[in-house]
Amino acid sequence: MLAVHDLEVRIAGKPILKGIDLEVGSGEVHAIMGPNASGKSTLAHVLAGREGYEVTAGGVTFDGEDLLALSPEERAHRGVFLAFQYPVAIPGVNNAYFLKAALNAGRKYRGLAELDAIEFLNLVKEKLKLVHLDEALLKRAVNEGFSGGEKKRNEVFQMAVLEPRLAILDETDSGLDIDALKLVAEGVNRLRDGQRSFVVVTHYQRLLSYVVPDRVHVLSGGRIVRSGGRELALDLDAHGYDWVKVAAA
Amino acid sequence: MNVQLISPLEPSDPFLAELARLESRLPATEPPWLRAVRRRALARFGERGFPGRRDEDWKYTDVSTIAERPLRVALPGVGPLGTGAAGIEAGRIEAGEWRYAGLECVELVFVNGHCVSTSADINYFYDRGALPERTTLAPLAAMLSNAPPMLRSSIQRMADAPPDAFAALNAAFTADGAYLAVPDGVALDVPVHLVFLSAPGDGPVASFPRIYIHLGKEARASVIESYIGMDAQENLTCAVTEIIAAAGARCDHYRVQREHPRSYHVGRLSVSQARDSEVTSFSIACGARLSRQDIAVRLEGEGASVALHGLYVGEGRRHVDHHTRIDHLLPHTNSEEHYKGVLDGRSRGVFNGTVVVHPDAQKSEAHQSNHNLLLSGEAEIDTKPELQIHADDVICSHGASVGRLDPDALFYLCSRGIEAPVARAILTQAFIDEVLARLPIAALRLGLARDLGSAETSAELLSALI
Ligand SMILES: Nc1ncnc2c1ncn2[C@@H]1O[C@H](COP(=O)(O)OP(=O)(O)O)[C@@H](O)[C@H]1O
Ligand SMILES: [Mg+2]
Repeated sequence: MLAVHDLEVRIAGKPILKGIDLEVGSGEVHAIMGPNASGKSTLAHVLAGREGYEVTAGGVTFDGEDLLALSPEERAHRGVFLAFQYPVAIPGVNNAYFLKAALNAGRKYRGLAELDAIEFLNLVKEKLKLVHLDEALLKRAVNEGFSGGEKKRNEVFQMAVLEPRLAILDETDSGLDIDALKLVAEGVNRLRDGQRSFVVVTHYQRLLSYVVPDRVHVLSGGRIVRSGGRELALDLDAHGYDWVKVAAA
Repeated sequence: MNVQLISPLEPSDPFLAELARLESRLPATEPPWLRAVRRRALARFGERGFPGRRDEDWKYTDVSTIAERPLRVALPGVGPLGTGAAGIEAGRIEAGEWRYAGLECVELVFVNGHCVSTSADINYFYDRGALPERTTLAPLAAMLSNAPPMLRSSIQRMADAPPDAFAALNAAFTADGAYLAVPDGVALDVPVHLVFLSAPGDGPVASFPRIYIHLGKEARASVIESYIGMDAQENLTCAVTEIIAAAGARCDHYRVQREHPRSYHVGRLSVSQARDSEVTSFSIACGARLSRQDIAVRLEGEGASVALHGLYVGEGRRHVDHHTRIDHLLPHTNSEEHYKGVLDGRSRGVFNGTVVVHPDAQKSEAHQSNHNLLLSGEAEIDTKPELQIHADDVICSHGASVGRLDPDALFYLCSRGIEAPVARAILTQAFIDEVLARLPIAALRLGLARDLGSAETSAELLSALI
């Protein structure tokens, strides 16, 4: 489904990703772990199509199509979703209005009829329960005045509504207590249907006890320095990142 | 008074000839004082002519295109509707395409400054109780032959001491408009909607409506002025509104300028407020090739308060200028002012907000903000707050900003599948909504949101949520 090969990315001339290879098959869950500033969010942003990144080598395909040639909205239409590490607050844009526009844009792309306000509300009320978010949140501006946890759950809520084919979760578990973490995990697990794929960026193995990954990769200094099964996450948890860095050197 | 002596205009002056042409069409019942006032106003205009770039107040707004073209005043009693309009059919008036869906109001319609609503139309509102009995709402033309003293002195004042050239021209050429007088203690239940349609005559025409609003003690009224261009090409509208609010009166005033993109619009709102009166003004400008709106508020009684809200939208090569001035003359007077602008294409916006706190106006409060959103690299804004504070025990603040759409917010929306142009429109709408959200009349709020480009507003979705 997703194939990243030898991806090199610079920000303002400075190399950040230094040759990433990553294959995520249909229905798979891949975890990406690694120390701060290793390039995890950069990879997530490049996959979602954010501006300001210069791809100097390599490429990305999604179902065989050149992903990097597509605009962010085209990527979303193909089924790519990014749960942001730091979701931006958008004052004045109503959360429900925004999500309805997003959902209907995707439906339009797939040739489906757009949902009207009532149909939309029936759908989202179900999904809100999933992440234990209050309906009042729909009436608020996107992420404005949301607590850290609410922002993260709002990302999972959007994912549940948009039902992407590939969801990239960028530290969605950071700063969450165990109950909120379980909700995030449940949001992911409910979407797992053997077809949808997930790239879960996390610092801690604790999320991975609820969302069991098929593969774990360690990103350090802009390179994937180690890949393995889920037991790699446990090793990292026990020994920290130093030993992988040493191993990579 | 000997008119010849004070008039620096040559007898052959085309403006004088235009005045004679207008007056030949006006009813013979017009009193002599009014005809004298018109000539005095024209003399005042003649002394200084149109403002130039050297006038500080007009530094950024070049009116030479208005000054250089011949002035053709829209005459009453000409054209199919007797309005100087050649290109407007009665059917379109009936259809009322300018109406705000669901807005219950008292409506007076003008074409090129001349009232086309009949006394039967107005009586209908009295009969239904939409206008209380002791309230007077009438076309200005109907009030002139026997003008109440307050109206007469207002007309004379504007002619003898016009605040600028356009006010002088309005005083010289106005022959119609609206007169609203609400007596002490009376409240109007529904807004008065004054609709000024601009339509082509046998070429571009100029119209000079005058609106006079007098609220007695503790009286309340809402007035909407809509200026709508109907295929009006290069017409000029030069309108003057005066609001006089007696003690404890409350007036909500809405001014919506949606003139034809090739036309010119100059408007002035003068407000004087007595003790404890409250005035709220909304000025929405989203039409015309060039528009200038002056608002001057005098807080003349203790406890008087005013709120000025504004929104200007520029696209193409539009020039849109707002100049406001608030004078705090007595203690415990409050003002707040919030203007926002969205400028696209090669449009240019001007905002100048002057607040003068006079020495006697202790314990007063004045707050001002002006925020601008530039949507293109070629759009421009000149924003200038001007606080002149001559009292020490006051609270004043002001803030101005010029910004662009937040790229992070745009990316967030697009990453969810929203097309980039739609994402930009959503963020722009959010910027605008902040002004519209303050409009207390829901039908007006929704109508304007629709006019300003959002097919389905968040407000509509919100109402479905509740
Ligand atoms: N916009 C930017 N401008 C300059 N440097 C950046 C920018 N974004 C990220 N970086 C740098 O790129 C590196 C990787 O950052 P990031 O991808 O956010 O790491 P991670 O998500 O793994 O913590 C860091 O050194 C960071 O400082
Ligand atoms: Mg990160």
